[in-house]
Amino acid sequence: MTVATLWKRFTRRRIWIRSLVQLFFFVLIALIAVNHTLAESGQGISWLSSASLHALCPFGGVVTLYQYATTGSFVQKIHESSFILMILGMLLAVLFGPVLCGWVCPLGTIQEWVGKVGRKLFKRRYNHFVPARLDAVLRYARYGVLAWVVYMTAASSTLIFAEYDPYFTLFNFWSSEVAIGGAVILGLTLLGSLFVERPWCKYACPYGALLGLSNLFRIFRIRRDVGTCKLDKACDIACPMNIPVSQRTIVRDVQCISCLECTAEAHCPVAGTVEFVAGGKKS
Amino acid sequence: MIRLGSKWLTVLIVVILFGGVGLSSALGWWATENRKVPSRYTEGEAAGEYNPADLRGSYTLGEVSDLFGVPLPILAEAFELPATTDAASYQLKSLESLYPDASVEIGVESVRLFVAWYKGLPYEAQADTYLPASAVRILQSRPLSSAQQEYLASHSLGTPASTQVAETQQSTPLAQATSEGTHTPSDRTITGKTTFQQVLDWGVSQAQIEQVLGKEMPAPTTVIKDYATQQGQEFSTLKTALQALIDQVQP
Repeated sequence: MTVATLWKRFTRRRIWIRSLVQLFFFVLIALIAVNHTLAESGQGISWLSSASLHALCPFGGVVTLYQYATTGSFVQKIHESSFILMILGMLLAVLFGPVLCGWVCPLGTIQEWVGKVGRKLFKRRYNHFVPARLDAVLRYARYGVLAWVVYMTAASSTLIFAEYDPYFTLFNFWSSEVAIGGAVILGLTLLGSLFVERPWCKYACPYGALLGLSNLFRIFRIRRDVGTCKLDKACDIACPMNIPVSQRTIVRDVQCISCLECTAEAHCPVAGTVEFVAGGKKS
Repeated sequence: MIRLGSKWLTVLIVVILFGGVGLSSALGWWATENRKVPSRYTEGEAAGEYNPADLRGSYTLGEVSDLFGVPLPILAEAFELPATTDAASYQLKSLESLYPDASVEIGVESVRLFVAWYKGLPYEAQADTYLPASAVRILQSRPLSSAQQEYLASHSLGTPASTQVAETQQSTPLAQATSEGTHTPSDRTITGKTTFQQVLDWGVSQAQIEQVLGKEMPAPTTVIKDYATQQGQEFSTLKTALQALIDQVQP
Protein backbone atom coordinates (compact mmCIF):
# COMPACT_ATOMS: atom_id res chain seq x y z
CA MET A 1 0.00 0.00 0.00
CA THR A 2 1.53 3.28 -1.07
CA VAL A 3 1.65 6.44 0.98
CA ALA A 4 -0.68 8.07 -1.53
CA THR A 5 -3.24 5.30 -1.07
CA LEU A 6 -3.03 5.56 2.69
CA TRP A 7 -3.45 9.31 2.53
CA LYS A 8 -6.44 8.97 0.22
CA ARG A 9 -8.05 6.49 2.58
CA PHE A 10 -7.34 8.76 5.56
CA THR A 11 -8.75 11.86 3.93
CA ARG A 12 -11.76 10.26 2.25
CA ARG A 13 -15.14 11.47 3.40
CA ARG A 14 -14.04 12.96 6.66
CA ILE A 15 -12.62 16.14 8.08
CA TRP A 16 -9.09 14.71 8.18
CA ILE A 17 -7.52 17.91 9.38
CA ARG A 18 -9.70 17.76 12.50
CA SER A 19 -8.13 14.42 13.35
CA LEU A 20 -4.68 15.97 13.06
CA VAL A 21 -5.68 18.93 15.25
CA GLN A 22 -7.15 16.56 17.84
CA LEU A 23 -3.99 14.44 17.84
CA PHE A 24 -1.84 17.54 18.18
CA PHE A 25 -3.69 18.84 21.24
CA PHE A 26 -3.87 15.39 22.81
CA VAL A 27 -0.11 14.93 22.51
CA LEU A 28 0.56 18.51 23.61
CA ILE A 29 -1.51 18.19 26.79
CA ALA A 30 -0.08 14.73 27.53
CA LEU A 31 3.49 16.04 27.20
CA ILE A 32 2.78 19.02 29.43
CA ALA A 33 1.16 16.78 32.05
CA VAL A 34 4.18 14.45 32.06
CA ASN A 35 6.51 17.43 32.16
CA HIS A 36 4.61 18.78 35.15
CA THR A 37 5.37 15.58 37.04
CA LEU A 38 9.00 15.62 35.92
CA ALA A 39 9.41 19.27 36.91
CA GLU A 40 8.28 18.50 40.46
CA SER A 41 11.33 16.27 40.82
CA GLY A 42 13.60 18.77 39.06
CA GLN A 43 13.79 16.76 35.82
CA GLY A 44 11.42 18.80 33.66
CA ILE A 45 12.06 19.67 30.04
CA SER A 46 12.94 23.36 30.03
CA TRP A 47 11.48 24.30 26.64
CA LEU A 48 8.11 22.71 27.35
CA SER A 49 5.47 24.13 29.67
CA SER A 50 5.24 22.34 32.99
CA ALA A 51 1.92 23.90 33.93
CA SER A 52 -0.53 21.86 35.93
CA LEU A 53 -3.57 20.51 34.15
CA HIS A 54 -5.77 22.78 36.26
CA ALA A 55 -3.88 25.79 34.94
CA LEU A 56 -4.64 24.72 31.36
CA CYS A 57 -8.30 23.92 31.85
CA PRO A 58 -10.67 26.62 30.60
CA PHE A 59 -13.45 25.19 32.76
CA GLY A 60 -11.37 26.18 35.79
CA GLY A 61 -11.98 29.77 34.76
CA VAL A 62 -15.73 29.15 34.72
CA VAL A 63 -15.93 27.59 38.18
CA THR A 64 -13.83 30.33 39.74
CA LEU A 65 -15.96 33.14 38.31
CA TYR A 66 -18.08 33.52 41.44
CA GLN A 67 -15.10 33.70 43.78
CA TYR A 68 -13.30 36.09 41.47
CA ALA A 69 -16.33 38.37 41.32
CA THR A 70 -16.85 38.37 45.09
CA THR A 71 -13.29 38.33 46.45
CA GLY A 72 -11.01 39.10 43.52
CA SER A 73 -9.13 35.83 44.02
CA PHE A 74 -9.15 32.47 42.28
CA VAL A 75 -10.19 29.11 43.66
CA GLN A 76 -7.17 27.11 44.80
CA LYS A 77 -5.13 25.60 41.93
CA ILE A 78 -6.76 27.91 39.39
CA HIS A 79 -4.68 30.67 37.89
CA GLU A 80 -4.90 33.49 35.36
CA SER A 81 -4.19 31.04 32.53
CA SER A 82 -7.48 29.20 33.16
CA PHE A 83 -9.29 32.52 33.02
CA ILE A 84 -7.66 33.50 29.74
CA LEU A 85 -8.37 30.10 28.19
CA MET A 86 -11.98 30.43 29.31
CA ILE A 87 -12.24 33.75 27.49
CA LEU A 88 -10.58 32.33 24.36
CA GLY A 89 -12.91 29.33 24.50
CA MET A 90 -15.90 31.64 24.73
CA LEU A 91 -14.64 33.73 21.82
CA LEU A 92 -14.23 30.60 19.69
CA ALA A 93 -17.69 29.45 20.75
CA VAL A 94 -19.34 32.74 19.82
CA LEU A 95 -17.67 32.61 16.42
CA PHE A 96 -17.82 28.91 15.55
CA GLY A 97 -19.75 27.07 18.25
CA PRO A 98 -18.15 24.54 20.64
CA VAL A 99 -15.06 23.88 18.50
CA LEU A 100 -13.10 23.34 21.71
CA CYS A 101 -15.19 20.19 22.19
CA GLY A 102 -15.01 18.95 18.62
CA TRP A 103 -11.48 19.93 17.70
CA VAL A 104 -9.39 20.46 20.81
CA CYS A 105 -10.60 18.61 23.93
CA PRO A 106 -8.39 15.54 24.48
CA LEU A 107 -11.13 13.77 26.41
CA GLY A 108 -13.42 14.10 23.41
CA THR A 109 -10.60 12.84 21.22
CA ILE A 110 -9.95 9.69 23.22
CA GLN A 111 -13.68 8.95 23.27
CA GLU A 112 -13.68 9.16 19.47
CA TRP A 113 -10.67 6.84 19.29
CA VAL A 114 -12.36 4.24 21.47
CA GLY A 115 -15.53 4.82 19.48
CA LYS A 116 -13.76 3.66 16.32
CA VAL A 117 -13.40 0.24 17.96
CA GLY A 118 -17.09 0.31 18.90
CA ARG A 119 -18.02 1.22 15.36
CA LYS A 120 -16.05 -1.74 14.02
CA LEU A 121 -17.69 -4.05 16.56
CA PHE A 122 -21.29 -2.92 16.23
CA LYS A 123 -21.37 -1.40 12.74
CA ARG A 124 -24.61 0.57 12.24
CA ARG A 125 -25.92 -0.23 15.68
CA TYR A 126 -23.07 1.81 17.12
CA ASN A 127 -24.20 5.07 18.69
CA HIS A 128 -27.84 3.93 18.63
CA PHE A 129 -28.04 1.78 21.75
CA VAL A 130 -29.71 4.31 24.02
CA PRO A 131 -33.50 4.49 23.49
CA ALA A 132 -34.45 7.85 22.00
CA ARG A 133 -36.70 8.91 24.90
CA LEU A 134 -34.13 8.07 27.55
CA ASP A 135 -31.43 9.73 25.47
CA ALA A 136 -33.47 12.92 25.20
CA VAL A 137 -33.84 13.11 28.99
CA LEU A 138 -30.23 12.20 29.72
CA ARG A 139 -29.00 15.03 27.51
CA TYR A 140 -30.17 17.50 30.15
CA ALA A 141 -28.07 15.82 32.84
CA ARG A 142 -24.97 17.81 31.98
CA TYR A 143 -26.75 21.02 32.94
CA GLY A 144 -27.39 19.51 36.34
CA VAL A 145 -23.69 18.67 36.57
CA LEU A 146 -22.78 22.22 35.53
CA ALA A 147 -25.06 23.77 38.16
CA TRP A 148 -23.76 21.41 40.86
CA VAL A 149 -20.10 22.05 40.06
CA VAL A 150 -20.47 25.83 39.93
CA TYR A 151 -22.50 25.94 43.15
CA MET A 152 -20.26 23.56 45.10
CA THR A 153 -17.11 25.34 44.00
CA ALA A 154 -18.56 28.68 45.06
CA ALA A 155 -19.74 27.26 48.40
CA SER A 156 -16.54 25.45 49.31
CA SER A 157 -13.89 27.56 47.55
CA THR A 158 -12.21 24.33 46.50
CA LEU A 159 -11.93 22.63 43.16
CA ILE A 160 -14.60 20.04 43.95
CA PHE A 161 -14.83 18.75 40.39
CA ALA A 162 -11.19 17.62 40.33
CA GLU A 163 -12.27 14.62 42.41
CA TYR A 164 -14.55 13.41 39.63
CA ASP A 165 -13.00 14.90 36.52
CA PRO A 166 -12.16 12.20 33.94
CA TYR A 167 -10.06 14.68 31.97
CA PHE A 168 -7.84 15.36 34.97
CA THR A 169 -7.61 11.63 35.65
CA LEU A 170 -6.70 10.85 32.04
CA PHE A 171 -3.54 12.92 32.25
CA ASN A 172 -2.69 12.28 35.89
CA PHE A 173 -3.40 8.57 36.31
CA TRP A 174 0.21 8.07 37.38
CA SER A 175 0.05 10.63 40.18
CA SER A 176 -1.28 10.42 43.72
CA GLU A 177 -3.58 13.36 42.99
CA VAL A 178 -6.05 11.15 41.14
CA ALA A 179 -9.20 10.34 43.10
CA ILE A 180 -11.07 7.08 42.84
CA GLY A 181 -14.17 8.92 41.68
CA GLY A 182 -12.33 10.37 38.70
CA ALA A 183 -10.83 7.00 37.79
CA VAL A 184 -14.22 5.27 37.92
CA ILE A 185 -15.84 7.95 35.78
CA LEU A 186 -13.01 7.83 33.24
CA GLY A 187 -13.32 4.04 33.08
CA LEU A 188 -17.07 4.24 32.57
CA THR A 189 -16.62 6.93 29.93
CA LEU A 190 -14.16 4.89 27.92
CA LEU A 191 -16.25 1.75 28.28
CA GLY A 192 -19.35 3.69 27.28
CA SER A 193 -17.51 5.01 24.23
CA LEU A 194 -17.59 1.49 22.82
CA PHE A 195 -21.35 1.79 22.51
CA VAL A 196 -22.12 5.51 22.35
CA GLU A 197 -20.13 8.22 20.61
CA ARG A 198 -18.76 10.73 23.14
CA PRO A 199 -20.93 9.64 26.11
CA TRP A 200 -19.24 12.04 28.53
CA CYS A 201 -19.83 14.96 26.17
CA LYS A 202 -23.47 14.06 25.59
CA TYR A 203 -24.59 13.33 29.11
CA ALA A 204 -22.21 14.72 31.69
CA CYS A 205 -19.66 17.30 30.57
CA PRO A 206 -20.40 20.59 32.39
CA TYR A 207 -18.10 22.63 30.17
CA GLY A 208 -19.66 21.16 27.05
CA ALA A 209 -23.05 22.10 28.47
CA LEU A 210 -21.96 25.70 28.77
CA LEU A 211 -20.23 25.91 25.39
CA GLY A 212 -23.17 24.17 23.77
CA LEU A 213 -25.35 27.17 24.50
CA SER A 214 -23.30 29.09 21.95
CA ASN A 215 -25.05 27.07 19.23
CA LEU A 216 -28.07 29.27 19.83
CA PHE A 217 -26.29 32.44 18.72
CA ARG A 218 -22.92 31.60 17.13
CA ILE A 219 -21.85 33.53 14.06
CA PHE A 220 -20.80 30.60 11.84
CA ARG A 221 -23.52 27.99 11.71
CA ILE A 222 -24.25 24.66 10.07
CA ARG A 223 -26.80 25.46 7.38
CA ARG A 224 -28.68 22.99 5.20
CA ASP A 225 -29.96 24.10 1.80
CA VAL A 226 -33.44 22.60 1.61
CA GLY A 227 -33.56 23.18 -2.15
CA THR A 228 -30.64 20.92 -2.99
CA CYS A 229 -30.89 18.43 -0.12
CA LYS A 230 -31.61 14.85 -1.28
CA LEU A 231 -32.77 13.87 2.21
CA ASP A 232 -30.51 10.84 2.16
CA LYS A 233 -29.75 11.42 5.84
CA ALA A 234 -26.02 11.06 5.31
CA CYS A 235 -25.59 14.03 7.63
CA ASP A 236 -27.69 12.39 10.35
CA ILE A 237 -25.64 9.22 10.21
CA ALA A 238 -22.36 11.14 10.29
CA CYS A 239 -23.25 13.29 13.29
CA PRO A 240 -21.47 11.96 16.38
CA MET A 241 -23.99 13.76 18.60
CA ASN A 242 -27.03 12.19 16.86
CA ILE A 243 -28.43 15.51 15.71
CA PRO A 244 -31.04 15.08 12.93
CA VAL A 245 -29.37 17.59 10.63
CA SER A 246 -31.64 16.57 7.74
CA GLN A 247 -34.58 18.00 9.68
CA ARG A 248 -32.93 21.37 10.28
CA THR A 249 -32.32 24.38 8.12
CA ILE A 250 -29.96 25.90 10.66
CA VAL A 251 -28.43 23.61 13.30
CA ARG A 252 -29.03 25.27 16.64
CA ASP A 253 -28.97 22.14 18.79
CA VAL A 254 -26.95 22.74 21.94
CA GLN A 255 -25.25 19.38 21.42
CA CYS A 256 -23.53 20.33 18.15
CA ILE A 257 -19.73 20.32 18.49
CA SER A 258 -18.94 21.93 15.11
CA CYS A 259 -17.01 18.91 13.87
CA LEU A 260 -18.20 19.59 10.29
CA GLU A 261 -18.66 15.87 9.64
CA CYS A 262 -22.18 16.55 8.34
CA THR A 263 -21.06 19.11 5.78
CA ALA A 264 -20.47 18.59 2.07
CA GLU A 265 -16.78 18.68 2.86
CA ALA A 266 -17.23 15.29 4.52
CA HIS A 267 -20.39 13.18 4.41
CA CYS A 268 -23.05 15.23 2.63
CA PRO A 269 -22.89 14.05 -1.01
CA VAL A 270 -24.29 17.22 -2.59
CA ALA A 271 -21.91 20.15 -2.86
CA GLY A 272 -23.08 23.31 -1.18
CA THR A 273 -25.99 21.64 0.63
CA VAL A 274 -24.77 21.39 4.22
CA GLU A 275 -22.22 24.09 4.90
CA PHE A 276 -20.54 26.00 7.70
CA VAL A 277 -21.47 29.59 6.97
CA ALA A 278 -21.95 33.04 8.39
CA GLY A 279 -24.46 35.54 7.09
CA GLY A 280 -27.99 35.23 5.89
CA LYS A 281 -28.49 34.52 2.23
CA LYS A 282 -26.73 32.12 -0.07
CA SER A 283 -24.51 33.93 -2.56
CA MET B 1 -22.62 34.76 3.06
CA ILE B 2 -19.20 33.56 4.18
CA ARG B 3 -18.36 29.87 3.87
CA LEU B 4 -15.75 28.40 6.15
CA GLY B 5 -13.97 25.15 5.37
CA SER B 6 -12.13 22.90 7.75
CA LYS B 7 -8.68 24.19 6.78
CA TRP B 8 -9.52 27.81 7.49
CA LEU B 9 -11.32 26.80 10.65
CA THR B 10 -8.14 25.02 11.76
CA VAL B 11 -6.09 28.12 11.08
CA LEU B 12 -8.50 30.30 13.02
CA ILE B 13 -8.66 27.93 16.01
CA VAL B 14 -4.88 27.73 16.21
CA VAL B 15 -4.41 31.47 15.72
CA ILE B 16 -7.03 32.41 18.31
CA LEU B 17 -5.79 29.93 20.92
CA PHE B 18 -2.05 30.36 20.54
CA GLY B 19 -2.32 34.01 19.56
CA GLY B 20 -4.44 34.65 22.64
CA VAL B 21 -1.97 32.88 24.88
CA GLY B 22 0.95 34.69 23.25
CA LEU B 23 -0.73 38.06 23.52
CA SER B 24 -1.66 37.55 27.17
CA SER B 25 1.91 36.45 27.87
CA ALA B 26 3.25 39.58 26.21
CA LEU B 27 0.93 41.67 28.33
CA GLY B 28 2.03 39.83 31.47
CA TRP B 29 -1.40 38.35 32.12
CA TRP B 30 -0.60 34.69 31.47
CA ALA B 31 0.30 32.83 34.64
CA THR B 32 0.09 29.10 35.26
CA GLU B 33 1.27 29.34 38.83
CA ASN B 34 0.34 31.37 41.83
CA ARG B 35 1.82 34.84 41.43
CA LYS B 36 2.37 34.99 45.15
CA VAL B 37 1.30 38.61 45.36
CA PRO B 38 -1.29 39.15 48.08
CA SER B 39 -4.02 41.73 47.75
CA ARG B 40 -3.55 45.12 49.38
CA TYR B 41 -5.53 47.04 51.95
CA THR B 42 -7.91 49.36 50.16
CA GLU B 43 -8.75 51.70 53.04
CA GLY B 44 -7.51 52.97 56.36
CA GLU B 45 -3.98 53.87 57.39
CA ALA B 46 -2.57 50.71 55.82
CA ALA B 47 -4.17 51.40 52.41
CA GLY B 48 -1.84 50.24 49.68
CA GLU B 49 0.09 47.81 51.89
CA TYR B 50 -0.03 44.05 51.33
CA ASN B 51 -2.74 42.41 53.40
CA PRO B 52 -1.56 39.35 55.37
CA ALA B 53 -5.13 38.05 55.31
CA ASP B 54 -4.51 37.04 51.70
CA LEU B 55 -1.57 34.78 52.51
CA ARG B 56 -2.14 31.25 51.22
CA GLY B 57 -0.78 27.87 52.14
CA SER B 58 1.39 27.80 49.02
CA TYR B 59 3.46 30.80 50.15
CA THR B 60 6.86 30.02 51.62
CA LEU B 61 8.25 31.71 54.69
CA GLY B 62 10.91 33.20 52.42
CA GLU B 63 8.23 34.81 50.27
CA VAL B 64 6.40 36.07 53.33
CA SER B 65 9.64 37.58 54.55
CA ASP B 66 10.26 39.31 51.21
CA LEU B 67 6.71 40.60 50.85
CA PHE B 68 6.18 41.86 54.38
CA GLY B 69 9.68 42.64 55.50
CA VAL B 70 9.63 40.29 58.46
CA PRO B 71 13.16 38.86 58.85
CA LEU B 72 13.29 35.17 57.93
CA PRO B 73 15.07 34.15 61.17
CA ILE B 74 12.26 35.81 63.12
CA LEU B 75 9.66 33.79 61.23
CA ALA B 76 11.63 30.58 61.71
CA GLU B 77 11.99 31.29 65.40
CA ALA B 78 8.37 32.29 65.84
CA PHE B 79 7.07 29.06 64.35
CA GLU B 80 9.83 26.95 65.86
CA LEU B 81 11.05 25.37 62.68
CA PRO B 82 13.52 22.55 63.26
CA ALA B 83 17.10 23.69 62.76
CA THR B 84 17.53 21.33 59.81
CA THR B 85 14.61 22.82 57.91
CA ASP B 86 15.15 25.28 55.07
CA ALA B 87 12.96 28.12 56.31
CA ALA B 88 13.04 30.05 53.03
CA SER B 89 11.34 27.26 51.07
CA TYR B 90 9.04 26.14 53.87
CA GLN B 91 5.40 26.42 52.76
CA LEU B 92 2.84 27.76 55.19
CA LYS B 93 0.54 24.81 54.59
CA SER B 94 3.26 22.53 55.99
CA LEU B 95 2.92 24.13 59.40
CA GLU B 96 -0.19 22.08 60.02
CA SER B 97 1.83 18.88 59.73
CA LEU B 98 4.56 20.34 61.95
CA TYR B 99 2.10 20.33 64.83
CA PRO B 100 0.11 17.14 64.18
CA ASP B 101 -0.76 16.49 67.81
CA ALA B 102 -1.54 20.04 68.84
CA SER B 103 -4.99 20.42 70.35
CA VAL B 104 -5.41 23.65 68.42
CA GLU B 105 -4.33 24.49 64.93
CA ILE B 106 -1.11 26.23 64.06
CA GLY B 107 -1.28 27.02 60.36
CA VAL B 108 -1.74 29.68 57.75
CA GLU B 109 -4.09 31.67 59.95
CA SER B 110 -1.41 31.83 62.65
CA VAL B 111 1.11 33.24 60.18
CA ARG B 112 -1.38 35.83 58.96
CA LEU B 113 -1.94 36.99 62.52
CA PHE B 114 1.74 36.99 63.41
CA VAL B 115 2.80 38.94 60.33
CA ALA B 116 0.01 41.49 60.71
CA TRP B 117 0.72 42.25 64.34
CA TYR B 118 4.46 42.12 63.90
CA LYS B 119 4.16 44.80 61.23
CA GLY B 120 1.48 46.74 63.07
CA LEU B 121 -1.07 46.11 60.33
CA PRO B 122 -4.79 45.93 61.04
CA TYR B 123 -5.99 42.38 61.43
CA GLU B 124 -8.96 40.94 63.24
CA ALA B 125 -7.82 37.84 65.10
CA GLN B 126 -10.23 34.93 65.10
CA ALA B 127 -11.10 33.43 68.46
CA ASP B 128 -9.63 30.07 67.47
CA THR B 129 -6.30 31.26 66.09
CA TYR B 130 -3.34 30.26 68.22
CA LEU B 131 0.35 30.99 68.09
CA PRO B 132 3.40 29.09 69.29
CA ALA B 133 4.77 30.49 72.54
CA SER B 134 7.87 31.80 70.81
CA ALA B 135 5.75 33.75 68.34
CA VAL B 136 3.82 35.22 71.26
CA ARG B 137 7.06 36.16 72.99
CA ILE B 138 8.30 37.94 69.86
CA LEU B 139 5.05 39.81 69.41
CA GLN B 140 4.98 40.86 73.05
CA SER B 141 8.20 42.76 72.40
CA ARG B 142 6.41 44.78 69.71
CA PRO B 143 4.13 47.76 70.27
CA LEU B 144 0.72 46.16 70.74
CA SER B 145 -2.57 47.40 72.12
CA SER B 146 -3.77 46.09 75.45
CA ALA B 147 -6.48 44.10 73.68
CA GLN B 148 -3.86 42.44 71.53
CA GLN B 149 -1.70 41.70 74.57
CA GLU B 150 -4.69 40.17 76.27
CA TYR B 151 -5.47 38.07 73.23
CA LEU B 152 -1.94 36.74 73.02
CA ALA B 153 -1.95 35.80 76.68
CA SER B 154 -4.88 33.49 76.10
CA HIS B 155 -3.90 32.17 72.68
CA SER B 156 -0.43 30.83 73.28
CA LEU B 157 0.29 27.16 72.92
CA GLY B 158 2.45 27.27 76.02
CA THR B 159 6.05 26.49 76.72
CA PRO B 160 8.29 26.85 73.70
CA ALA B 161 9.50 23.51 72.50
CA SER B 162 12.31 24.78 70.37
CA THR B 163 14.90 23.80 72.90
CA GLN B 164 13.52 20.27 73.01
CA VAL B 165 13.53 20.16 69.22
CA ALA B 166 17.11 21.24 69.05
CA GLU B 167 18.01 18.42 71.36
CA THR B 168 15.90 15.69 69.86
CA GLN B 169 15.84 16.86 66.23
CA GLN B 170 12.19 15.95 66.03
CA SER B 171 10.08 17.46 63.31
CA THR B 172 7.06 17.98 65.55
CA PRO B 173 8.25 20.55 68.03
CA LEU B 174 4.98 21.23 69.73
CA ALA B 175 3.84 17.68 70.02
CA GLN B 176 5.06 17.49 73.56
CA ALA B 177 4.55 21.13 74.38
CA THR B 178 0.83 20.95 73.73
CA SER B 179 0.14 19.23 76.98
CA GLU B 180 1.87 22.06 78.73
CA GLY B 181 -0.18 24.68 76.89
CA THR B 182 -1.74 27.46 78.84
CA HIS B 183 -5.04 27.34 77.05
CA THR B 184 -7.63 24.73 76.30
CA PRO B 185 -9.97 25.66 73.48
CA SER B 186 -13.53 26.19 74.53
CA ASP B 187 -16.26 23.72 73.66
CA ARG B 188 -17.79 23.92 70.21
CA THR B 189 -14.52 25.07 68.67
CA ILE B 190 -12.90 22.96 65.98
CA THR B 191 -9.32 22.09 66.80
CA GLY B 192 -6.72 19.77 65.37
CA LYS B 193 -8.30 16.86 67.20
CA THR B 194 -11.96 17.48 66.50
CA THR B 195 -13.81 14.65 64.78
CA PHE B 196 -16.81 14.83 62.50
CA GLN B 197 -18.82 13.14 65.24
CA GLN B 198 -18.19 16.12 67.52
CA VAL B 199 -19.43 18.48 64.84
CA LEU B 200 -22.55 16.34 64.54
CA ASP B 201 -22.95 16.41 68.32
CA TRP B 202 -22.78 20.20 68.23
CA GLY B 203 -25.93 20.24 66.11
CA VAL B 204 -24.63 20.43 62.55
CA SER B 205 -26.37 17.97 60.27
CA GLN B 206 -24.54 15.47 58.11
CA ALA B 207 -26.08 17.08 55.03
CA GLN B 208 -24.58 20.45 56.01
CA ILE B 209 -21.17 18.87 56.53
CA GLU B 210 -21.36 17.10 53.20
CA GLN B 211 -22.29 20.35 51.53
CA VAL B 212 -19.09 21.89 52.83
CA LEU B 213 -17.03 18.83 51.91
CA GLY B 214 -18.65 18.56 48.51
CA LYS B 215 -18.86 14.83 48.99
CA GLU B 216 -19.95 12.12 51.36
CA MET B 217 -18.84 12.56 54.93
CA PRO B 218 -16.24 10.01 56.00
CA ALA B 219 -16.68 7.86 59.13
CA PRO B 220 -17.85 10.13 61.98
CA THR B 221 -14.81 9.17 64.04
CA THR B 222 -12.47 10.65 61.44
CA VAL B 223 -10.42 13.57 62.72
CA ILE B 224 -11.21 16.58 60.53
CA LYS B 225 -7.60 17.66 60.32
CA ASP B 226 -6.54 14.18 59.17
CA TYR B 227 -9.29 14.23 56.59
CA ALA B 228 -8.12 17.62 55.25
CA THR B 229 -4.55 16.35 55.02
CA GLN B 230 -5.65 13.22 53.15
CA GLN B 231 -7.72 15.26 50.73
CA GLY B 232 -4.95 17.78 50.11
CA GLN B 233 -7.10 20.60 51.46
CA GLU B 234 -6.09 23.35 53.84
CA PHE B 235 -7.39 22.46 57.27
CA SER B 236 -7.89 26.13 58.06
CA THR B 237 -10.27 26.57 55.10
CA LEU B 238 -12.30 23.51 56.02
CA LYS B 239 -12.31 24.47 59.67
CA THR B 240 -13.58 27.98 58.95
CA ALA B 241 -16.47 26.67 56.88
CA LEU B 242 -17.49 24.06 59.47
CA GLN B 243 -17.00 26.44 62.38
CA ALA B 244 -19.39 28.88 60.71
CA LEU B 245 -22.03 26.15 60.69
CA ILE B 246 -21.40 25.36 64.35
CA ASP B 247 -21.67 29.01 65.28
CA GLN B 248 -25.06 29.20 63.60
CA VAL B 249 -26.43 26.46 65.86
CA GLN B 250 -27.66 27.48 69.28
CA PRO B 251 -25.97 25.33 71.95
